Amino acid sequence: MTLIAALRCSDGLILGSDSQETRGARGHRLARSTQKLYEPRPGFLLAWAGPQDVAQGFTLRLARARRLSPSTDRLEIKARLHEILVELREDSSIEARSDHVELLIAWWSRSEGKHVGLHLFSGGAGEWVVTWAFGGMELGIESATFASGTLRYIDPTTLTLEQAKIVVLKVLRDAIDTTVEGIGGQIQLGTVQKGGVRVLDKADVRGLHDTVNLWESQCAELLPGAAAPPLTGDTRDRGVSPPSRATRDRTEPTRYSA
Amino acid sequence: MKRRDWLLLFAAYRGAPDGLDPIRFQKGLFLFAQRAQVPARSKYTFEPYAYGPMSRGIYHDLDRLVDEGLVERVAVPGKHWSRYKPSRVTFREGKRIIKQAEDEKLLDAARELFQIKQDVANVGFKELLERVYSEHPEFAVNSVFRKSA
Repeated sequence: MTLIAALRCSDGLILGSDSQETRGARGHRLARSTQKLYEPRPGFLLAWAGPQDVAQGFTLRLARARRLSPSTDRLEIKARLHEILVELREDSSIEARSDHVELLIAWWSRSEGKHVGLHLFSGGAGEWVVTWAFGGMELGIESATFASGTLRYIDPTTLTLEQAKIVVLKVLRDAIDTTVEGIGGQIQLGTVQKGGVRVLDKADVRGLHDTVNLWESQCAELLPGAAAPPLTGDTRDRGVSPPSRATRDRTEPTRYSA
Repeated sequence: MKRRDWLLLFAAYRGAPDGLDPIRFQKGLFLFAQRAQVPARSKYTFEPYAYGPMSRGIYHDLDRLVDEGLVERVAVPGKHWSRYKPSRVTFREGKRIIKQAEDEKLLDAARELFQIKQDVANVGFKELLERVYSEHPEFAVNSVFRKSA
């Protein structure tokens, strides 16, 4: 099970997902980490929710599709993606072909000069992403919808891509925190903007986590007493003292440029 | 001295017995890189990031210090981050590093690092960011937070 998300902002589009893949019956589930967000072909960013073999089949077909690029008319792209989904449902080698699959696909439409996101369902429906879109496990979607609702005082269409990244990360991690089972693991993020598609590496996501931590901490600091600086704790401090002024360097210190 | 020695000394110094969050490590070592007279190879390199100056090397070295048992990673209840807390091993290593700083004529830098730790550990995040942004606006250009300083 999965939670995937898309957010359109002023100058780009962000896709995000959890990374937990769950197998087995309820109460006997096993979880493992898996990649759910990638660039299947140049210029396209994809996040998937559903059985992995279906997602892999879709990704391979998309990667091999002919005459498909971000320059192609978006309605034509949508039709081609639907064709791939129909092919998948008819492919008897894919065990879970009849299961429900959701895909979020984003690209920079060169013909329109703007970022475009599409929410595709294996049943045949497809919706263009306007602001937020969520897919995957029902409880996860509910949690994410609620989490994004608590941020309704922020207008996503005014956010820059950098700001929108931390909003998406906050919503995903809040949704994961409040959902009991089925979603979790490291959060994966990718972006689409005029300059192209980018899947964020672990160091980038870690930095973004700290950015969200700062955001939340500054909110806490607005309430007096809610967040004291570390120096003010009650724990006995056994830390190392600085070298005293009486301790002199043996010779004049070397000067280094800053 | 290597840059990670300064990182470990920062953790070992008095000033935050319950440990410090990654943001304060980032900002503290950034201020050290800007102010201290040490060779360039002893400083972390920083990029202007969403929360101001950020060094990927610090994240990497903090992980290594934890793996090597030189600092402890302690989860903070109700938060998404961990603090990096000094232990006896950290203190022992801190004293060794000060001795090394003396040998390498870097005691002024060691004192500077101590003062920076007191500064970053004694303020809230908002004030810390404002100070760093105000002193080094070139590292605030990608910040997602309003610069009120």
